Amino acid sequence: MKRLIYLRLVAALWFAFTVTAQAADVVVIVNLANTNNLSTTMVKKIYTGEMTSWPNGGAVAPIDLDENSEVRASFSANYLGKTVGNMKAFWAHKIFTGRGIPPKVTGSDSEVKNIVSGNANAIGYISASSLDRSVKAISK
Amino acid sequence: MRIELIMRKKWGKAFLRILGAALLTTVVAVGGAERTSAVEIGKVNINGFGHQGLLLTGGKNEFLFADETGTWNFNSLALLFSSRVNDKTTVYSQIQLDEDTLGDQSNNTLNNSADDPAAGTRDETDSIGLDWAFVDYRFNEDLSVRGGQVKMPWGIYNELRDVKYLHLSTVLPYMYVKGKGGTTDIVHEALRGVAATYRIDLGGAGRLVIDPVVGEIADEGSSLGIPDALGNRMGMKMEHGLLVGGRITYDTPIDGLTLMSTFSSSEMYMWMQMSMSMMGTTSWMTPVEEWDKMEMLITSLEYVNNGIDLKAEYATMDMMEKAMLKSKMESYYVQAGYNVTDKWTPFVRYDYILTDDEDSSGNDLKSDPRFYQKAMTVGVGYKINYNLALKAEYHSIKGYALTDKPFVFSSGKNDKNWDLFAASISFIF
Repeated sequence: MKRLIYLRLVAALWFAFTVTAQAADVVVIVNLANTNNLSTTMVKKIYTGEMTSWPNGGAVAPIDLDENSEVRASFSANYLGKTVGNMKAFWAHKIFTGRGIPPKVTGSDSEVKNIVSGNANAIGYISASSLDRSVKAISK
Repeated sequence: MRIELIMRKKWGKAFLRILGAALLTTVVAVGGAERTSAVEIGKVNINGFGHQGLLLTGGKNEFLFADETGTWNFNSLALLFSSRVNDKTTVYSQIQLDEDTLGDQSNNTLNNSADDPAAGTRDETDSIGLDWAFVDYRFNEDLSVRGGQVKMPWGIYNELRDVKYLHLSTVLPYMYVKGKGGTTDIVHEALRGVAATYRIDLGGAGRLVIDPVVGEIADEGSSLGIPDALGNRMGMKMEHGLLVGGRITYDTPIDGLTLMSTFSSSEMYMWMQMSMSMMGTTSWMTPVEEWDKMEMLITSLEYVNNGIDLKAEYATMDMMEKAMLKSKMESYYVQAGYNVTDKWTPFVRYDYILTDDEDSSGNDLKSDPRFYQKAMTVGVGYKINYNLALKAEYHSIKGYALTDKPFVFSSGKNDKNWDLFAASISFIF
């Protein structure tokens, strides 16, 4: 009986870990020189192509992570209210009707930070644990 | 020993099945998706799409160049080049392979010319066509203007009519299908001119998007009818003049529900000539030509949410004023699909088109199978990943208004009741 309870507990913890891994803690980051006041509404407008210019000037350069990324899944759910699949279909409609260009895609948090820290107009998102002083996080 | 003890109990086996399923699901979720970003060369992004289809009809009818033996000439390949010049300006250009080695069904073109003895056959020349190319300038978040050769923002499907990956079905609803050399088009593809997009945020009531256009239709249709049993046939050529129109889209407060209304008014030039065969000699009668006005109206509803994909549209095309050319085309469809496990989407659709409501004497043509075509379609789509999809469908059809033998005057050359099988593989990147 004790053995069975132990096994059930292991299974529950395993599922919990899997669910937790999917809901990664995400922060949106911009260049340290970016002085624009950003809201979550503006983040959504940027990543859906509605906003292409910063209020203070300059072309917004949004960066996405790879479709496989749990961080991207979490960002899509929490900031855009859509799944990664929904957003892929959304951008396919936009690009093939000539109404927008999707964000550039890169493979890892470190690549996102490199791009954002090197481009005053770039915006991206990374896992909270990857945040460092090379970029600035916006609050949700 | 411990595993054996677990397996002897019913709930133990169930637990292992659940654990195995969870492990398998995790492996698939982590490893299954493909990277699908565009190719980038400097500041130029390259996206693309294509499809390869198989069509097969039952009976005598030929539709979309398919007959009982089937056709593989149902395909397309296109490359889209885009570049953000600055924060307000973006340039787009799409080229599409429009040649017989791929199959001219990619652009649904029929080689037609009143002077061409091979009229009514496929275009045998190879070419790469410019599908659309324009510059987009964004004044602000709500207003942008495009100039060049633009896809007309008509209805739900027109701007994406060639991107099969984004469709539920292989064969589009009839209102978007080019039949009989373009002479039965309700919805035309592209326009050379200027288009704009203006968004109005209604707050809690949703959003309006207005897409006005002005210019000239970027294609022209012509057709030379295949001779009937007596050797008579008719040739027709159309050219388009100025077009003014637009689409209003209402993104409702109900998530996924969108309503649209599209209207256009354009000038059209039509040239017609008939031939008569008597005693083994064919003579062409004096051609008739004139300008007329063409008006199109489309009403659309789309609901895409929680796996449900529901679309319905109603369209009319009136050619007015001139008695000789007066005709009214009508088409509608209702399509419903349901997405299962993000991969499978079974769907059904009912299609109807009437290419002319009455003849020059005022006789009703709604019951004449030469002028109507109705279909009940069932099918399924399967998305392999974000790039690749498979589709298969069966159409049960009555009437032959859109079949590939235009202006057939004699009976017996078409089946009133027939069917079509279509399958395709499509991709985007």
